[in-house]
Amino acid sequence: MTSNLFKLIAAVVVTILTGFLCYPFGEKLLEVMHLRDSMASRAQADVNAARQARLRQQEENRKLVHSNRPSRPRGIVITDTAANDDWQKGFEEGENDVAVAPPQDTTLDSDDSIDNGAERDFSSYMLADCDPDLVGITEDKDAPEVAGQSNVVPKIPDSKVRNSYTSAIRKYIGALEKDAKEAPYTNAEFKGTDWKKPNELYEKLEGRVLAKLGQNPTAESVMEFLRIPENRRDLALITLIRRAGIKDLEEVSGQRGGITVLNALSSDLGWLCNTLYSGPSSGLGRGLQYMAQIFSRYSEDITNETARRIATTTATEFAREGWSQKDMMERFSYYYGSYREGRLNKIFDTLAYWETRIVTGNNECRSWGSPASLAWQRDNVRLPVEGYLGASGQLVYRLRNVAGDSVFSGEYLAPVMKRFNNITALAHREIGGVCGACSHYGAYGALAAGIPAMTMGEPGHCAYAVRVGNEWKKGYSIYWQHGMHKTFWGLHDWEFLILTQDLYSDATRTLASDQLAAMADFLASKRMTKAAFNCFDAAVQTQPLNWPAWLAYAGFLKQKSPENKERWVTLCNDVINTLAQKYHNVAATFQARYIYPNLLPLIPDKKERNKLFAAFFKKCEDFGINRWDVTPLLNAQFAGCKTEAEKLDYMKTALSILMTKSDYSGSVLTWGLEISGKMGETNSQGADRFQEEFSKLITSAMKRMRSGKKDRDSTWAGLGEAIHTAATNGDNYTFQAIGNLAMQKCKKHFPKNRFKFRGFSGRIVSAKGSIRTGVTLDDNGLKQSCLHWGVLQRNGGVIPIKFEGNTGITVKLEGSSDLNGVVALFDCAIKNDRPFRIEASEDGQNWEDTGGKVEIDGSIMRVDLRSAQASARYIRLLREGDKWDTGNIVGFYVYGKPKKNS
Amino acid sequence: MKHTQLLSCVGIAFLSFWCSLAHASQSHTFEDALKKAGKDKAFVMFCYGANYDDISIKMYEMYIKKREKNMYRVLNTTNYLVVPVYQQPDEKEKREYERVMGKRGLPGGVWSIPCFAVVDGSGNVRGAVQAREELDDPVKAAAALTKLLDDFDEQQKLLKRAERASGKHKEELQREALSYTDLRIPNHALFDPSQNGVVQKLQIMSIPEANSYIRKLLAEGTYSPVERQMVMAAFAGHVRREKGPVALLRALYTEMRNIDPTSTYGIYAEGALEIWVEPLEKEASSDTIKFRKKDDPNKPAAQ
Repeated sequence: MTSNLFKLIAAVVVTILTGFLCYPFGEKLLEVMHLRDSMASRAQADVNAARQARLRQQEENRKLVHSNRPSRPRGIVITDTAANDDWQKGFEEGENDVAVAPPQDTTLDSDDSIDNGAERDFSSYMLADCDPDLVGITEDKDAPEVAGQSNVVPKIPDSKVRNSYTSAIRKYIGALEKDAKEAPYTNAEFKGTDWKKPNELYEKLEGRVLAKLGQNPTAESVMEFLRIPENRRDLALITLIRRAGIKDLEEVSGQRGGITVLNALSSDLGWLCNTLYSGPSSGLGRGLQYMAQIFSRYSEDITNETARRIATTTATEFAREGWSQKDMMERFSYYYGSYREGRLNKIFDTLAYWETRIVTGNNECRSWGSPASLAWQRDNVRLPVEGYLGASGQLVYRLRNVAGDSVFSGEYLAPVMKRFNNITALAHREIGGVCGACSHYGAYGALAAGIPAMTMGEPGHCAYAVRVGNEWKKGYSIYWQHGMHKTFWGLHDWEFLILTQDLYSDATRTLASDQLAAMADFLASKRMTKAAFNCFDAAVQTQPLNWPAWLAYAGFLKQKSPENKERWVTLCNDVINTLAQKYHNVAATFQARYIYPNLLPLIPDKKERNKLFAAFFKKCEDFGINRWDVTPLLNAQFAGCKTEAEKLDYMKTALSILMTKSDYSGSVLTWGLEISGKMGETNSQGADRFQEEFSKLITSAMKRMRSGKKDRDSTWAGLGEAIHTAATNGDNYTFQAIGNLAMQKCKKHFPKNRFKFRGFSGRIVSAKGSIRTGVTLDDNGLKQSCLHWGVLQRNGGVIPIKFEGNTGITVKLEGSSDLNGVVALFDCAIKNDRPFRIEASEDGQNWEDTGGKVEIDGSIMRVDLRSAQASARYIRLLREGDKWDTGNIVGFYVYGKPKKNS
Repeated sequence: MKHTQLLSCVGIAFLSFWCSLAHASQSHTFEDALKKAGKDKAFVMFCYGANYDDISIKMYEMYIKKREKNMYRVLNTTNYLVVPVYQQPDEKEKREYERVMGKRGLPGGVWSIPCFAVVDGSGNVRGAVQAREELDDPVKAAAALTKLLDDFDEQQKLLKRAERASGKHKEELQREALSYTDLRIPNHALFDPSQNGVVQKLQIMSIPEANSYIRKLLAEGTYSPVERQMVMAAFAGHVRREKGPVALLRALYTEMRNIDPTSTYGIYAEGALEIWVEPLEKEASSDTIKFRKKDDPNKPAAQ
C-alpha cells in the first residue's frame, strides 16, 4: 500500500516535472490549449487575408503605376523621409564611383560667406589648421618685449632638463586623471554681457594668466599652473577666443541661442576641452554659430551630454569642411533623433568627441550621407560592428547595369532614384554598383548606425575601413596603398589614421599635451619666445604622437630661428627617437616635408647628412604599421644633394642600407630606376655618365639583395616591383638584368614549360626586350612581375591580360626589326568572338595596324606578318570591342630579323 | 492500485503530449532545427542583437518573450530557432552563441538584424523578413513570414519536380521556381544580361537585329518574370542609346513594367517611361504641331 502510494506520488511529481520541463507556461496552459484549437484555422485565415491584401496591394500598385505615380517595391522598405525634389542633381553628385579622394561637398548657403576679419589677428593659429607650409604665430601688436624672453631661443634641452620634465609631466597628468574621476569642473564666472565684448574678456583672461605665470615661466611652472582646473579653464577660454576670432564670437553672441551656448560652454571645462582638443578646429567661429543654431532649436537639450556631443562634433566638422548650415542641421537631427529613438548601435553611446566627429562629420551630405540614405541603411542594414566589413557583399557587382548603362554614366540609377526617394544605398542595392558603391554601402552602413568608418581610395579601386573595438579594420581592400577619405590633418595614409586612433585613445596624455601646445601658442603671441619653445618641447615630450604639436613646434622654430641648425637637428632626432619607433611613415613625412627643407641647406657636409638619414633608416627594420611609400622621403633627401658626386654618394648610402632590408629593397630599387629613367630623359652628356654610373650602382645593389631561404620571397617581391618599373620605363637593359638576376636567385618561382607550337622563320627578337600589360597590378600582382620576363623566354612565365580599346600587351623589342610573325600562348581558351590585331610602332607613340593574319587554335595564337612586311621597335596585341581580362599569357614570341645599326 | 498506476500513466502521457505539442515548434540548436526541417521543410531563425541593439531587444521581447499573437500563430505552426547575435562577444557570450549555433557563423543572407530568416534543411537562408517597415508592425511581419513559408513550400515542390524532370520541362520548372523573387535558391543564379554577355552582344547589333535576337532569346529560353524584365531592360537600353523609335521604347518599357509593376525592374521601367520616353514623345508631338502649323496655319493642332 505504502509503495503504491509512493508510486502514485512519484508519478504525479514526474508528471508535473515533465510538464514543467516541456513547457514552462504554467497558468497559461489552458489559454494556449484554447488558442491551439483555433490556431490552424486562424493561421490559414491570416494567410488568406495576407494573400488577399497582397493581391489588393498589387492591384493598387498597378493602378498607381498606370497613373504615373511612384510605387514601392515588394520587400523594399523606404524610410518616410521627405523626398528631395532635386533628385537628379543629388544623384549626379552622389554617383562618383571612382577610387579617388571623395567629392567634398563644399556647398555654402548664399548667406554663408566666411569672413575672418577680426580686431585681433589670430588667423595664423597653427594648431587650428595644419598647413603644409609651416606658418608661424602672429604676435600681438601691443605685446611688450619681455626681458630674457622675447626672441630668446633657449638652449637645447639636455637629458637633465628632459628628466625634470618627466616628473612635472607625471604630476600634471596625475592631476588631470584625478579631476577626471571627480565631478566635472564648472564655473559660471562669465555671463552674457562678457560674451558681448569678447575683446575685453580676452584681455581680462590674458592678464590673469600672465600674472599667475610670472615673468619667466618654465615648462615646469606652466605644468604646475595647469594642474589647477580654474587655470585650465582660463587657458581654454583664451584658446577658444583665439581660434574663433573676436568678430565671429561677437556674431555668435548676437545670434539667437548664442549667449546660452557660450555661457554653457565656458562654464563647463569638460565640454570646453572636448570642443577645443578633439581634433582640428579651423572654422571654430562658424562652428560656434552652428552650435548656437542647433541649441536655439533644441534649447531644452543643452544640458544633455549626448546632445552636446552630437551638436559639437557636427558643428565643428561641418564648419571645418565648409559645409552648409542646412546640411549640418539635417545631419544633427538625424543622429540626435536616431539616438533618442534607440536606433543606433550601442557603440555610439560610448564614443569620445573625436570619434563622434568621424561619424557625424561623414562626407557626401547629398548622397550616401543624406538623411534619407542614412536612415534607410540604419533600418535595413543593422549588423554587429564586425558585420559591416562584409556588408559590401550585399550589392551585385555590375560595371554595366542590366540595361547596359555604365556605372560612370548618369543613366545607371536614373530611372529608380526618384521612386526610391533618392535613397542612394537602396538604389545601388537593387541595381548594382562597382567597388565605389560596394565600399560606400559598407562604410555608410556602419556610419548610419553610429560606428566610426570611412571609405578609402586604392589604386584603381575603392575600399573602406570600419573601427572594431580600438582597431581599424579594412573591408573590400585589395592593395596596401590607402587614401583615407576622412582625415583630421589632410594626410590620407593609413598610418595617419592609426596615429589619430592611438593619439586620442591616450586621452589624458593627449589633453595635457594639447594644453601645453595651446599655452605655447599663447606665450608666443605675447612675445615670450623662450617660454613658448619650452612649452612646445614639453608638449611633444608629453605626447610624442601629437602630430599638430610637432607641426606647430616646427612652424615656430622656422619663424623664430630658421637657421638654428642645432635646434633643427634636435627636432629631427626627437622625431626619430619618438615617432619613428612605431610610425615610420609619419616620421618620414614630417622629416621630408618640414625638417629637410629647413635643415639640409644648413648641413654642407655630405657625411653628416648621410649620417642623419641613416639614423632614421636604422629605426625602420620593416614597414611597421602598414606598407608605405618611401619615395617622398628619398626624394627629399636626394633633393638636398647638389653635385652629382653628392647624389651618387647619397645613393650609395641609401641603397647600401635599404637593399638589405627586405621590406624596403623593392621600393628603393624602383625609386632608383625612376630617378635613372628621369636622368635618361635629360639627354645631356653629364646625365648619360651619371645614368651609367647609377645603373652600375643599382645592378651591384641588386646583387646585395638577400636570397637565403628566409628572404627569397621578399627578394622575389622586391625584384618584381623593380622589373615592373623597368618595363614601364621601357628600360630593356634593366628589365633583362633584373629578369636574369631573378632567375639566378629565385629559380624555383619560374615555370619549366615545354611549349609545342609552330613558329616563324627568323629569330626571336623579343627575348631581350621588355613586355608590359594594361592590367593595373595589385600588391600580389606586382610581386609576381618577374614572371613577365619569363613570358619572353623559352620556358615561359605569366603575365595577366586585359584587352580593352588600346589596352593590350605591349612588347619593346631588342631593336628595330623586320617582323615575320608573332606567337602568343594563353593559359586558357582564347575568347575569339572579337578580332585581334597586331599594331607596330617605331617610337611607342604612333601605331599602325600591321594587317597580319590571325589564327587561333585553342590557347595558341599565331599572327603571320610575312605578307605585311612590317618593321618596328614596338609591337602591341589588341582586341576589338568589349573588355576581356580573364586569363594570362604564358609565352610571347616575336619572330623577325633585327635591322642593322638599330 | 492498478487503477491508480494507470491513471498516473495516462496523466503523464496526456500532459507530455500537450506540452510537447505546444512546444514542438521551437528548436534550441541549429543542428536540431536542421534535423527537424529534414530535406523539404524550412525552419524560421529569429536573429537578434543581444548586446548592442535596443531595437533587437525590443523585438525579442515582443515577438519571442511576450509572444506577440500574430507572430506566435505563425511560429507555432513551424519549426523555429532563436539566435542571440553578439557584438565583440566576451567568453560568456561566445558560449551562449555556440550553445545555439555551435561553431557556425550566421548563414549568408542575413543582411540585417533583427530578422526572421527562412532557412532550408541544408542551412541556406532562402528568404528573410528583415526590413524595418515589416518588423515594426507585427501584422505585416507575420504576413510576410507566412508568405515566405508558403512560397518556400511551393518552390520546393517545383524544385523537386524539376529534379525528376529532364530537358526543357526541367528548365521550365526551375525557372518557375525562380519566379518567387523573395526567395533565393542556392546554386541557381538569375539570367543576368549584364553578366552573361547579352548586353555586350547587343552593342554591335542594329536595332532590327537586336530585336530579332531578343525575341528569339525570349521565345526559345524559359525565363522567370524578373529575368524577362532584365532581358527587356537590356534591349530597351540598347534601343535608347541607339536612338531607336520612341514607340518601340514605350512598348518595351510598358511590357517590362506590366510583368510585375512592384518589382525592382517594374519600378525601373516606370521610371524609364517617365524620364526617357515621355520627354521624347512630348518633343515629337511638339515637332508635329509645329510642322502642322507650318503646313496649314488654319488647321487647329491635334492634341
